Amino acid sequence: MSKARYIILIVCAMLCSCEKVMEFDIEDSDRMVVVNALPSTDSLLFVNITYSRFFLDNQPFTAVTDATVSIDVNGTTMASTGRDGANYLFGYTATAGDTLTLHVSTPGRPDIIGGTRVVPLPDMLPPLAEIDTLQPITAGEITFTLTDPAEMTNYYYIYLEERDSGTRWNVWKEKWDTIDTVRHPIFTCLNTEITNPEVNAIEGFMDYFTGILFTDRDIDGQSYETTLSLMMLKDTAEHPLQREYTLIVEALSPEAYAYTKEVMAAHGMASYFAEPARVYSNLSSGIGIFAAIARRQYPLTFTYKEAEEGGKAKVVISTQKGVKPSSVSASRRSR
Amino acid sequence: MLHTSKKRLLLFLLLLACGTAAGQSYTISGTVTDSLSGETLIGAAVMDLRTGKGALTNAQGRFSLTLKSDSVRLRVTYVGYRPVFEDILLKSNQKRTFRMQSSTELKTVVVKSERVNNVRSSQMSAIDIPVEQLKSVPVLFGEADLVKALQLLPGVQSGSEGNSGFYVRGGGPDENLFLLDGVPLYNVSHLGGFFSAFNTDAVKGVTLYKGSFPAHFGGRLSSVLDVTTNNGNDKQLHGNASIGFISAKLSVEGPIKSERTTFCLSGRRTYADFLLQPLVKRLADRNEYKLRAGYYFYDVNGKLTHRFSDRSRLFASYYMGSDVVYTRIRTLATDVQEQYLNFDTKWGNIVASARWNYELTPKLFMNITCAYTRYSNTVGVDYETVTLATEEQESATSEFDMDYVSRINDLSLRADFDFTPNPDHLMKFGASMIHHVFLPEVSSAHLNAYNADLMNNSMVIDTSVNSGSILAEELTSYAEDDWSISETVKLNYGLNFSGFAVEHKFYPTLQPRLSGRVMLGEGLSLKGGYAYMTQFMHLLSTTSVSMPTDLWVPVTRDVPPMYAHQVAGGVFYEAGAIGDFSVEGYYKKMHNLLEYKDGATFFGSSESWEEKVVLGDGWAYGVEFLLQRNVGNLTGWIGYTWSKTMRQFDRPEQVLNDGKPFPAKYDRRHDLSIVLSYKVNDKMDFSATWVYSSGNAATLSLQEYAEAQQTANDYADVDPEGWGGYLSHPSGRNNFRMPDYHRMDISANFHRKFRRCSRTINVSVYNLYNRKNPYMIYESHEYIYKGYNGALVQLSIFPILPSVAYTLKF
Repeated sequence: MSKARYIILIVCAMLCSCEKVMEFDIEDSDRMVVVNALPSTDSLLFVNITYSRFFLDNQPFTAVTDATVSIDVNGTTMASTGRDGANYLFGYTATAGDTLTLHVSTPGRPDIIGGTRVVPLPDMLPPLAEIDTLQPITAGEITFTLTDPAEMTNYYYIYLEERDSGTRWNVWKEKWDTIDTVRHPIFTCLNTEITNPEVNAIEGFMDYFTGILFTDRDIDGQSYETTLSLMMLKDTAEHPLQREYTLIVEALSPEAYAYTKEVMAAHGMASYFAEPARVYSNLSSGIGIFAAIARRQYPLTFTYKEAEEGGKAKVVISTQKGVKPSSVSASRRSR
Repeated sequence: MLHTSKKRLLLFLLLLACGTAAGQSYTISGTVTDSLSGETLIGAAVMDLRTGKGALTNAQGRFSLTLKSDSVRLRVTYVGYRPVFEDILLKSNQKRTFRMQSSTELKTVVVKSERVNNVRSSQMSAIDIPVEQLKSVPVLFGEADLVKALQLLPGVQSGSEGNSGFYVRGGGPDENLFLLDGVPLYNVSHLGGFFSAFNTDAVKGVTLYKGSFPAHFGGRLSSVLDVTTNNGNDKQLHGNASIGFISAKLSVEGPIKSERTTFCLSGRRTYADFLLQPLVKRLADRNEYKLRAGYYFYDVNGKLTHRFSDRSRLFASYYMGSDVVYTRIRTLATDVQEQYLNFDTKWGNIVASARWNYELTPKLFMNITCAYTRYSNTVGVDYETVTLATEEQESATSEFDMDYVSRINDLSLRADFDFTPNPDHLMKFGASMIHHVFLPEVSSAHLNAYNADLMNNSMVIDTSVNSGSILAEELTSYAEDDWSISETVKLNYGLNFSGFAVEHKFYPTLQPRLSGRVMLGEGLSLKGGYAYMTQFMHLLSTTSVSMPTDLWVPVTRDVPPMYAHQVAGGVFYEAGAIGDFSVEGYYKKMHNLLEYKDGATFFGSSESWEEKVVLGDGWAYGVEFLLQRNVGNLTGWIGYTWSKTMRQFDRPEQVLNDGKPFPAKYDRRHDLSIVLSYKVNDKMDFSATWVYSSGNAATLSLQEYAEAQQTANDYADVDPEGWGGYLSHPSGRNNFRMPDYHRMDISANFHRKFRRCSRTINVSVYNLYNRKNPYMIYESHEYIYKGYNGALVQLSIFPILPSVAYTLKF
């Protein structure tokens, strides 16, 4: 019987699926000009301009080097100050309230135009952090309060970055040898019943490496406390005793929100089940994005103290840049 | 005055309907059954040869024929059975049970039964396929499948390779009403759609309606598949058992109390999970973990029938079918730590119904049905870590599980009446009410971490995201009349009123139905029909393959019902011994069709399903040719369809494809099926099918472009070439055609009779010439094509597949 089963299995294996390269007749159509620029309140503006590539072509994107690029800031035109590869540089950092228009001209192609507005950041109390070192999977929480500006639709993107030790998160980090900052996975987020049951209907979703994106639909004009739950392994043999994080809060323009959301969807698990779709673009005659972001950063340092004999393990948390430090003893929560 | 006018109108209509009933007429009513099994026969023709008046048996095998003459000569015919003749002196109402003898029992080689052809009926766009013929169609793994055989009919398209998805005249897979003994089934697919939920051993009759729907059907836009199951042999215990390549079946039927109470019980289960265990074990051994994994499906059909009298019968039916996918992985992470990963998916239907047939008068027949339907699917992932206590640390466990659940429960009550005032009218009227409870989606996550050191030291995180239960009431009432206006003209007209109450909103619809036939000559008729259909529920699906994650959702306050207008016309010709030939053309316009928004799926978002969908319209038109032969040694059909199916989503904020029309996923220009069965003698028969269809439409992103770099750090961190992140840019929805599909299957049945039983050995070959048909296509950079470092790769899943099945009948 056993032999018979193996024979059946071998036959199944012989007959099972096969793949072959498909002949098709599709032209490598004209490459499109792709313009990407995300003016932000904490960095100088640069506009990345490349050509698109044919889907079977896995070569790097080609820079557009002959473009003329300018921006209008509240009606005043600024030309780019230089170019680094595909990046056209500007001596401009976005300020809340600015209205921006981007003009890109490339020879033989229609002009590409896009507009955006820099929205104000919400008022925010300094974040508090708590780490429970007694859990098998150490749970950490970062709590903060933001006050949403009233009478306008606001869009937020909150995420956590970790200064990488080079060993821990390289699974998610593609260029860990050149970029030493990676997104930290956030385990649960504010739009659940756990932390803030009174506002559990916030439109948003969690992705374990891209942060939390949500609108103020249910918290318009309110002061809103939220908690991010983190998952941290406490195997100190592998991981450093001191960890440095940066909590980043972004107020997005509507264009940045639409783009971020669709990029997340395009890269997320869901995309495997969805029809291929175009990602949002606010540019005429081209593809890409021109969208403003207001950003604030909160550096946090978590120092893990091994338990002394008879005592409890501790995590000391300090914040920088004027944010009030907090130190929380290792605690346990029972729910 | 108005009141009097209404009374007069009512009286006029009554007289019109009753017509000759006022004369000296008597009614012959009764049942037509199989002489050996006592099984009622659906669609048998009872005709008075002297007047040419006749009637067909209904779904319960009953007929009613009112005649004037005092002396009648009745002829009862049914495909595959020897005609029965009886002379009756009609001086009072009569009851008759006609027991017909199957031609196969008569040992006649050539079946020359009279045909109940499609030419004279007022109904169009409907096809009856004898179950025996459906069973003889060669199919995948030798497992006869009703739905896949129906896919070979013109106007019916299959999904991808091997899929039992059903696309009728440009409609989606959710626009088909599958009725099992009159009760709707939601998901009729097993194993990703490779098999349907209907066990052919339990099936007695199948009728597919593609358009011109009679008024008693409603609730779906595109088709009705009416499946009737066996009542059970009322003479003696019979059964059959079969074992095939991937499944085994057992069916038993017989009397509990002779000719009074019968039962019929059928079961089927696949056993691929047992066969694959050695492979799974070897895979696990190689990777040094313990693994149990498998897939199986099963279904059970049961039916009890009790005859109180010739006028009264009670039926109790039960169906349960389920698919189960399971994976258990146990890993020893360290000497003291074990990890368990369990993945389970389960989906299926349960249907329980009770029906009471009662002949109120010889002309009025009543059928009361109450039914319960449940469809559910669950997907669960469970991850557990157990750390044993050591000198250094305490024992600890942590468990994380995620579940996705979707469910529908229906409770329904239905009353149907058949009224035959005279042979020129067959009226049907009735009403039904369905109480729906939808639980469209519940996603939950649960974390429980426990450390034995301190009893209180446990952390529990429990979260659930769901759209909540939706309660709805669906009300339907209908009236229709099949009216023989003259020898040449026949009309079926009716009205269906349906309403759906959900979330304090009521959607009423009045749906007119009309179909008619004009005889142009002997055996030649012209037919036309119109149907307005409404559908109160949608299936949200993101793939071409039937998935447990396909989501049934009701209309809501914000999502209105789908509706469609369909007109059809055709010519039907009875070409003697060659068979019946028909040409039908149709045009269908559909509104409020539902699709996921660009990029949205059931997966991974806390948005409710209503926020993930868009509404749009569609239209389809085509021509269908069918040559069908049901009698003689050579039976089968040749069907060809030319069709076009489009979709357009251009409503404000509900845009897909820039608001431009695009072809539907299963828009195919050509579909050809040739199905032939040849009976050599009582010991041997052969079947062959050949199918050809244009390729499916698919969306292909022809361009890729750089993703914007979002960074919170200085420009110095920005790589001028980006992170390597890129986005795809499809030029349009369904902008690409997959290669054409064609395939040939053959099968042979070898029968042998023994003293107390008979056996059949079925040998079949699926995809005889090993055509590599595309199941899916994807981009791969492992190949070089035309100078590119990548290629489009086509995956074919079913090459040539021989199989053997053994069936024992007793």
